[in-house]
Amino acid sequence: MTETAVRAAIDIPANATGEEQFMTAPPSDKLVLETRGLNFYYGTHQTLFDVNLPVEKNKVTALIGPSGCGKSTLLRTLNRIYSLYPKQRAEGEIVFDGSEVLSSAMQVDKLRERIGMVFQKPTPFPMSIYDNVAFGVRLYHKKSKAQMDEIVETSLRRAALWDEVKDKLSQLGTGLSGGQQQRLCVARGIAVEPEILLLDEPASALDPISTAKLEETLAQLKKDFTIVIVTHNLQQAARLSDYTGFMFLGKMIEFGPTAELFQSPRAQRTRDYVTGRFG
Amino acid sequence: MMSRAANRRIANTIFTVSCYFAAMIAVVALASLFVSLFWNGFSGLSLSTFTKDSQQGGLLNGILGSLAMCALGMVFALIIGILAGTWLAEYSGTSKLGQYVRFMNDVLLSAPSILIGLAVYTYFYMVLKAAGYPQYTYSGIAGATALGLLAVPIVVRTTEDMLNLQPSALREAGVALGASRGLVIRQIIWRSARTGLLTGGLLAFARISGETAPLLFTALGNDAHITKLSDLGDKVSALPLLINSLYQLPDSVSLAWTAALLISLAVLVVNIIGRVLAARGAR
Repeated sequence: MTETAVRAAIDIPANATGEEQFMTAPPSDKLVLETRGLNFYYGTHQTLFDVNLPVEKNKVTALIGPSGCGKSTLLRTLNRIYSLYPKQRAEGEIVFDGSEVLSSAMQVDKLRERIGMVFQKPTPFPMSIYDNVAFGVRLYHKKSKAQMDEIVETSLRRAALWDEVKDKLSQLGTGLSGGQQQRLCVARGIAVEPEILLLDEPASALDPISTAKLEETLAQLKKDFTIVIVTHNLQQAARLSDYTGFMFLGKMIEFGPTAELFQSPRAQRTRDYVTGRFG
Repeated sequence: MMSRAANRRIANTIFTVSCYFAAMIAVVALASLFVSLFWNGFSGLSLSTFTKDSQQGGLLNGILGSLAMCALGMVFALIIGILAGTWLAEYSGTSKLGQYVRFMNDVLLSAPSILIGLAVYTYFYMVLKAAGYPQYTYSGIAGATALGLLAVPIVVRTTEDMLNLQPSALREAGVALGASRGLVIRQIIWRSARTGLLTGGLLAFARISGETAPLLFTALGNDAHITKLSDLGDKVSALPLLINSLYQLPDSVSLAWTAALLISLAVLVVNIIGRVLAARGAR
């Protein structure tokens, strides 16, 4: 749908877009990651406009919004994974733990050790379950067999997968079911002990039972990690997250504590979206 | 006057029957080839085929020469081909240079093999003459180089195709853990594509194992079989070369048939292994 068509469908005057942002940010001393005035371009096509996203330490921040609103794009700027593609470019500020993520001085491998990511479709590597989990750890640390065994077990336990795979660690990770594969990817992501975990619609390719299991896992992980999750599923955002950002056409329309955003949204568009008038 | 529906039915029938016949012609041609190969070549097959050289009524010099030169050529082709194919798929992007390389590779893919043989002969002659050893121009090394050059574009093409089939999410997942592009390619992408890469190698091997033309100006042929690696510095025999020479001697025609049968069986087996692996990889 074109921008004009979307606007017409939800009764928003064209001149009203982006005029007002409703932000209830967490206290600034608790932030671990923050974007300020972030713009993003695919070639000459701009997809993010002046986005501010505050991420509080050890909380779950959810990003919601209709397809194509830029929530995945925003997530992909946070660990600079977009920079794999030469035509994609971000401008503005992303501050992580006091340093500037978009600066050319930032060492992206170090950044990605500290900010892990799980993708929409499960991406097990074509190697054993054990090696999948150990892959990231081996990039950074030389560990003894016993230490590595322990890291693998702990990570799989935290991802609620240990009991299902403990007897077949040497089998291929690609042989697991979709839901198990996704939890394997979570285990692989947390094995390097990142501070932040980025999740890009991690349940969208899973059946409801696998989704429930994955959500349980994420609820456990909340305690130890800062999580930013992109989701299409409003209930999932409401259940899991502490803060929610609603995005629309590349702009952050409203950001605040999840309960407030869902129960008393301040922007008309947020209200329309969370009550199911569009999206 | 016939109805349009009846017209269409007739047209459809003619078309189907034509397709069917065309397919049958291809199958019958291949089947008759194998029948005549078995008919003429099978009786000549015995233990001495594999233990004696062509002068003594066997094919040992051809078999060993073919195996050695194909193997050496494939080592060369796999190293160059996989690296070049990887560059095309992973690094060249939409660059002009990438497009040129891809185009040149397609040209090489269909270049007449005798030209490859002549080119390699010329290089070896020029270099070895300048170095003072023109007598080594004809050698197994030159033969292997010519065969390898024929295989390179096949390996480049299959490598590029196979790597392009790997999901970009897999690359992103590796990079997101902090791994470099190169490490992701070597440890994840190549491994994920390994059946495809192996299939490409096998098909290239099958292709070059039956080639005669590139060997005419390079390996030239030898009545004795190779016994050690350094023999590849001298003239070397090969099964396709033997077919060519034996068929011209009235007494040796049946041996030439046997050599042809052996090559065809080898190509068939390697092709079947390649197909099975490809099918398994696709699952």
